[in-house]
Amino acid sequence: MVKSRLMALLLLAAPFAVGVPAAAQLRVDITSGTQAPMPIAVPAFPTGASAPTPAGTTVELGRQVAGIISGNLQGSGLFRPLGAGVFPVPGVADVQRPQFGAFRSAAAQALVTGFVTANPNGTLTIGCYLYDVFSEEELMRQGFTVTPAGWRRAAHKCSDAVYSRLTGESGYFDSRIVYVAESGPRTKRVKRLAIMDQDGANHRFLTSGQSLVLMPRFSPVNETISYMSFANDRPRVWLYNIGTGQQEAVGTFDSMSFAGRFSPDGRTLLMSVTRSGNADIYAYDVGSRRSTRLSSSNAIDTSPSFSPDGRQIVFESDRGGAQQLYVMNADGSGAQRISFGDGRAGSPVWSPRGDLIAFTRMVGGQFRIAVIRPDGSGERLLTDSWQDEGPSWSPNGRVILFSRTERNGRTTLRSIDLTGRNDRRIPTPLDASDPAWGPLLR
Amino acid sequence: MTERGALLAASGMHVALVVVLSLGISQVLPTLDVAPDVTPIEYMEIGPEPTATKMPQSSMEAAPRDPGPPPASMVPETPMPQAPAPPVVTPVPAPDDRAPQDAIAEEARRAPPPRAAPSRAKNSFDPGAMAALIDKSIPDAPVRPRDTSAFAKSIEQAIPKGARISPRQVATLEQAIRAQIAPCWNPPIGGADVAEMTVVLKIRLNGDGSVAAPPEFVSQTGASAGNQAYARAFVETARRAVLRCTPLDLPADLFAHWREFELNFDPRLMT
Repeated sequence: MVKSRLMALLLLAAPFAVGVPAAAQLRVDITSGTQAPMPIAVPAFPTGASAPTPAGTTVELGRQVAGIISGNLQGSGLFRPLGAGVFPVPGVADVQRPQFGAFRSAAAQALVTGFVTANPNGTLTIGCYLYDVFSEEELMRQGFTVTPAGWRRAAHKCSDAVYSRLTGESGYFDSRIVYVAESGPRTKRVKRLAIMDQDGANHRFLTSGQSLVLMPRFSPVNETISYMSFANDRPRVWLYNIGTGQQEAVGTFDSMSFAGRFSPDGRTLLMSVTRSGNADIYAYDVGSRRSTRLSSSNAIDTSPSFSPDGRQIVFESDRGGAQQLYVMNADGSGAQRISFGDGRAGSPVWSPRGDLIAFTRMVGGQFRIAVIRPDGSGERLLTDSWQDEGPSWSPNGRVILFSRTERNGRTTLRSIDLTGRNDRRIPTPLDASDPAWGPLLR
Repeated sequence: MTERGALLAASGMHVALVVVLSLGISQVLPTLDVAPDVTPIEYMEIGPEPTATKMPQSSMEAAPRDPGPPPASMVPETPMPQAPAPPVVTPVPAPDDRAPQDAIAEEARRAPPPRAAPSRAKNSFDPGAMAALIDKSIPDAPVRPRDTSAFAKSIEQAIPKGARISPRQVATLEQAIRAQIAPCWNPPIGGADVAEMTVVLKIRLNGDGSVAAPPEFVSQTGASAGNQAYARAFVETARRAVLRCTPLDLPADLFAHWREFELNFDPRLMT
């Protein structure tokens, strides 16, 4: 009896005999950081032996490629490149085995390096390497073979590879922007279609300026642009193939048609057609040249834009009294209003990432670029100027291009990150409006 | 009815009323709440805001500690015109950081209480007068202030090093680590799903605060098949934050606690 009672007592006391355990491991919560651009070293790209090419010597190209990469990364607002002026040109052996000491003391966190080689058959090979300066490990390497005329594209592709490896986003630097270049006095404005690389290079005009052009839009495939032209004093939508230079009028509507946007597969062009005082949205099949009416209300429905999965369309309608945003299925059914609050909302564009819709918020006389989630929640105003309008997304759904009109009448192209930071000007030779950002080039 | 009858009826009803009332009808009625005591408010003068010229450095010396022994003299209600100087008890020396503070605090509390001086004020309760009533024939017990330093040392030797760390020390350590790592962290805000992500890294440090090994991935939340690229970029920004801002400046005497710890990166305050 006593023994069993003793055993019971011992069992009860056993946990306490183990003793006070050592302190539990410390865990610290870091619940906020900073939003600062990442310092990244981009020294000039070395070359084995300097060789002349139609685009310049390979040594010069090495410097310029690093300059383009620096410019792209800086323009994204997420990086602070430390460029060729800070570091000496590395040797070719340093590309595969870099000396990290200099980069570490400059507080760079990553290193972009590569080489330029002229091949015997006239092409160029540009290599692109990305290293982490702290751990000294190689994060990414890619090589591109290009014609001398396309060497800039290799630099853009290298920038895309670096950008996407470090941020997780897909790239957007190897793309083009089409817009309306404006010149002349306000009463006699000359408007021409123009196209350029997203960094402003390789600029050229696509139309002569004889007839008014508006609303250029890029097709996601096959280098086609749709736009509105007032040739013969009649507004019509045209399809312009940049590669071949051929143009084709869309449909034979006995009414005014306004350019819309392409579907993600490029087969459908959404348009807004005006008949007897109200405007409806039509889907025009580019292949069969047939159009289907999608919306039928006694209101002005315009500015349609597909979601990236092609299942929904966001558009602008004043069926509720003033312009607001509505989302409907791709077959035209189930339209729901998603924008509320002060003022009117128009010109919606669905992000290629699918998570946001950019649009113009109009309150009083002020136009601002804003984003909203497709279910109507989370509206955020991004810009704060007098008249910012006509947003267009970069191919990765991260940057928004728009046009800004200043009170003196000048119009410029600007871009802003979806977090509302890095509002910057895209340089154009003349005044510019109505921009559209094209897809990533293959 | 005669006058007598009326008088009888009236007295009868009076008696009945008294009986009914004394039966405790009041127990059926609810009792009134007693109003709570009014808490006295003391008004304080708030001085001008102090301006800090230098970023305060965290250190164990600056951490708040247990109060020392209670003040030496107990002041009676009215001033004493000719009272002798009250006896001063020598305060216990400031506790050693290494020793458990709780034991020392308890020792301080057990320090001998001071004796109040006799008072000759007229219209007030005089605690000193009580002393006159005490029978002085019995000698006072000798009061010896205890030697607490030896006591503390024996406690320190008995408890293994690093087994106990007070919550105050933990909080100060966490704050020091957070203040040095957070400014170096650039999460990829703007990336899809990044707002919902977190990552836990295990950090091992040397005595001088530098990393003994690269930060080790422990766990991550918010990653899915669709956002792998963002998840990887997110983890890398956390790793870079640690490598950027080490060596850390942390109190050497708590090294056992920050030699190895975990960091939970959660951008919830940024989104």
